[in-house]
Amino acid sequence: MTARVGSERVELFAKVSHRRRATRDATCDVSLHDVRESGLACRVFGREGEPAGFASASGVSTSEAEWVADRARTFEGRASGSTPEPSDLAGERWDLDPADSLPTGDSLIALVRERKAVEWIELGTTVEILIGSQGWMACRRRNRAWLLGSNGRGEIRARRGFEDLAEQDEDAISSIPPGGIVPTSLVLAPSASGALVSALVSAFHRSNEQCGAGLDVDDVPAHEEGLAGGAFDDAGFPTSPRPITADGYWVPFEPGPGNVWRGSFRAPPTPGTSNLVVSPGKPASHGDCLRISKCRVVPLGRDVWVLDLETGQGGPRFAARVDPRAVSLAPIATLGPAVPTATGPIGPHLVVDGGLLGLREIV
Amino acid sequence: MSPDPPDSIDAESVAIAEAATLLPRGDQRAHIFLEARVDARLDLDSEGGRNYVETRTRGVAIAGPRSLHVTDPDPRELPALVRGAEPSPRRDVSRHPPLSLRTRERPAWRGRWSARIVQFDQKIWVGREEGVVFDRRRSCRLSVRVGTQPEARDELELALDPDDPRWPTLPDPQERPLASPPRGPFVGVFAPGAAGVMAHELFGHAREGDVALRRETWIASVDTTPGVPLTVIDAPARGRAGWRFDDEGTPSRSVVLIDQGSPAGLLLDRACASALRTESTGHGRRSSYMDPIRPRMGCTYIEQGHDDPDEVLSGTRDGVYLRRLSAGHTDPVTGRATFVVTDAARIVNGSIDQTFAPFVIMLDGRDVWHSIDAVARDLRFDSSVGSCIRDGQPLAVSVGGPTIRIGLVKVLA
Repeated sequence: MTARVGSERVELFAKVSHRRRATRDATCDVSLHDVRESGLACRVFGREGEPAGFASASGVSTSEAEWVADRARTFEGRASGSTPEPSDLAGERWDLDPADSLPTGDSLIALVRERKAVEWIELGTTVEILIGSQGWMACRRRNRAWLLGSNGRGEIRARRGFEDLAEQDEDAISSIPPGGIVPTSLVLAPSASGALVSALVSAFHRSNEQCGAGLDVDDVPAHEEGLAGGAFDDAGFPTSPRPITADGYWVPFEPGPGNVWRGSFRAPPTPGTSNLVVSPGKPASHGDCLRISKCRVVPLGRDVWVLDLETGQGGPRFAARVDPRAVSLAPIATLGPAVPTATGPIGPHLVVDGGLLGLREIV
Repeated sequence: MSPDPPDSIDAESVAIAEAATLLPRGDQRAHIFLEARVDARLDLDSEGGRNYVETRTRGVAIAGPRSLHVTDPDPRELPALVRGAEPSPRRDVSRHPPLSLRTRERPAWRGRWSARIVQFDQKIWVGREEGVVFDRRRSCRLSVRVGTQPEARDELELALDPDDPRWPTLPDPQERPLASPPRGPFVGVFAPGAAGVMAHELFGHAREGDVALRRETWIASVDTTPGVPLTVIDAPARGRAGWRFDDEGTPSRSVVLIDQGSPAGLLLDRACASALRTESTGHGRRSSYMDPIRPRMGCTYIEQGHDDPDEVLSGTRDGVYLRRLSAGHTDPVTGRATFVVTDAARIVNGSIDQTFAPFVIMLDGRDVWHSIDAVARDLRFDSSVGSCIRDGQPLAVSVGGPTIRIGLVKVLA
C-alpha cells in the first residue's frame, strides 16, 4: 500500500485483526463469532514540534488511505507530532508472535461445550503496520487469548499466545478464609489489583511522592506475556523498560520517544504506559485476610477517590472515601507469581493495608 | 416483517436481499446486518483549543449460530460470504456526507470552560428471508464543564438536534462552597430526569431478556406489593438515539417493564424470544457490526404520576435533593446499584439548603420498590446524556423520569 505523499511527511498506521469467540448464550447453546476487522489511521506532519493532523477509518483499501490522508491534511484532528527519523529506527523492525493459526471454530465450540466452567473464550491475532514517507517502518503481530469463567467472580483471564487458558489452575489464593468484620489486610486478586494499579499509575506517574512497599512497578513494553506494547511504540520509536516506582517512591514520567501508544487505531498516539508489571516481592505471610475479586476506583476529584471492593460470590463488600495518596501507600506486599490480567497490568496478588483506607463494610 | 426500503433502491439493499435468500431457513437468529456509520467528536475550550476527529465505519455481520463479522466487504461478495467463502480486501468504498459539526462556530460563553460534542450518524440495512429493512440512527450530545476547581465545577449535559446543533446558554459559573457528603441513609428526592438513570440501572438491566433467562434476577424474588406507584417503560423509538427497527430487522415497540409495582415485560431479541416461545420486542442491538446481538435498552423512563413536584419537595422534612447522577453500575442478580452523584443538595424542612460535594450512593432495588412514596407529574428526558456499556458494547441510550421520592438511599462513600 502506498499513500500519495509527495514532499509531505505522512504516516499510515494499519491494523488487521482476526478473532474467534465461542460463547455460551442465554439458552446454554454455544455460538461462534468470527470477526475480521481492519482499519487505517493517518498522521500528516507539519512543522517540527507542532501537532500532526489525524484521521482514521475502517478498512484498508487504497481509497480509504486516500480519504484518511486527505482528512488528516485539514489538521482539524490533532495528534502528537513526534515521529522517528529513519536514523532513529532500530535495525530490527519486526516484532512478531509466531504465525500460529487460530484454533478452528469447531474446536472452540467443543471446548466451551465440554467445560461448563467456561462462559466464553476468545482468541485473536492482530497485525499492525507503520508506513512512513520513507516507506515501511515497522510491523507487529500479537496473538492473544481471553476467557471468562462462570465461577461467579466475573474475572476475565488473559494471556499472550493461544495456549489453552482453560487449563490454567484456579486461583490458589481463593482458599483464604474470610477474616474479621472489617479486615486489616486485604488480598486483591490480580484482576482487582490490576484495576487499582492502573488507577494509581494514572494519578501518580508524573509525581515523585511516596508509595507502598508492595508497589514495585515497571513499564516493560516488550514483556513476553504483555497484552500490549512491543519492541517499538505506536509511532515506531524503539522501546525500553523504565521504572514507574523505585525504592518506595513514584518515578516522574517523562513523555518522549518509546512511550507513545494508541488506545485503538481510531485514536491518535499519546504518551503513556504499555505493559505495567508489578514485581512479586518477598514471600509474605498473609494470615487471615479477605480476598477481593473486584476493585472499582471512582475518582470524584483530584483529592477524593471512592474505592468499591467486592469479595464476590455473596461475600461482604467494602467501600471507602479516601485520599488517593493513602491508597498509594496501602499496598504493603505481594503474594504468588505475576500473571497477565485483562485489566492491563501483569502482577501478583496485592496485599493491601485496609487500615490505611478506612474501609467500612456495606450492609 | 414488512420491508421498509430506503429512499431509493440502493446497491446495499439489492445485494443484501439477494444474499438473504441464501440464509438458513427457520433460524430466528439468521440475518445480514450492514452498517455505514460516521462518528465525530469536537473538543473546545475557553483557551482557544479545538480538536475535531471524525471516523467512518462500514462493516457487515452475517449472523446465525456461526456469525461472520467483516470490515467493509464488497456488497457483491455477500452471497459468497453467506456460503462460507473467505472475505477478500475491498477496492473501493462509498462515503457518507460530512456531519454538521465541522463548521460550528465557537460558543460565546464567559469564564473558563471545556466542552465536547459527540455525534454519530448510523445507517443500517438488515436482510432476512422476508426482505430488507433500513433504519437510520442519529444522535448529538453536548457536555460542558464550567469553572476551575475539579470538585466544584458545574457540569451540563444536553441532547442536541443532530441537524442543527446549537450552543445553549450557560448559567454563570459558580465557585460555590460545597458541604461534606451526607452520612448514613437518607430520604432522596430525585429531580425531574435524574431518576431515569436509576430506572435504567436497577429495573432495565434486570428486565433484559438474556439476563433474566440466564440467572434469577432480584426482581424475580421481590415481594410485589399492590399499590406501589412505580411504572417503568422502555420505548426504543423515543429519545435522543431512537430506532424504528432493531439490528435484527424487528420493528421496535414499547415494553412496560414494571407495571404499578408488578414485574411485567422483558426486553427481547430474537434468540431470547425464541427461547421463551414468543415474539421479539425489537430490542436486539449490537454496538457495531463486530459485536453479537444483545437485548438492550433504548429510552427507559419512569412514567409520571399525579403528585405536585413542589409538594414532594416541601413535604420532605430532612433529605437530599439529587439533581444529577452520572456513572451507574449494577448487579442485576443482587439488585444493588451504585451511582456517582455529581449535583445534590440537602433538604431542610422542605427547602433546598447546602450543595454537597460529589459522592457515591448505593441503591437496593428492594428498598426502592418498597420505599418509593411519591411520583410527580413532571416527566423529563435526557437531563443526563450518556452511553450504556454492557459486555464491552457501548450504546447511546436515553433516560427519563419525573420528580420522585425514595425513603432509603444509602451513601456508599
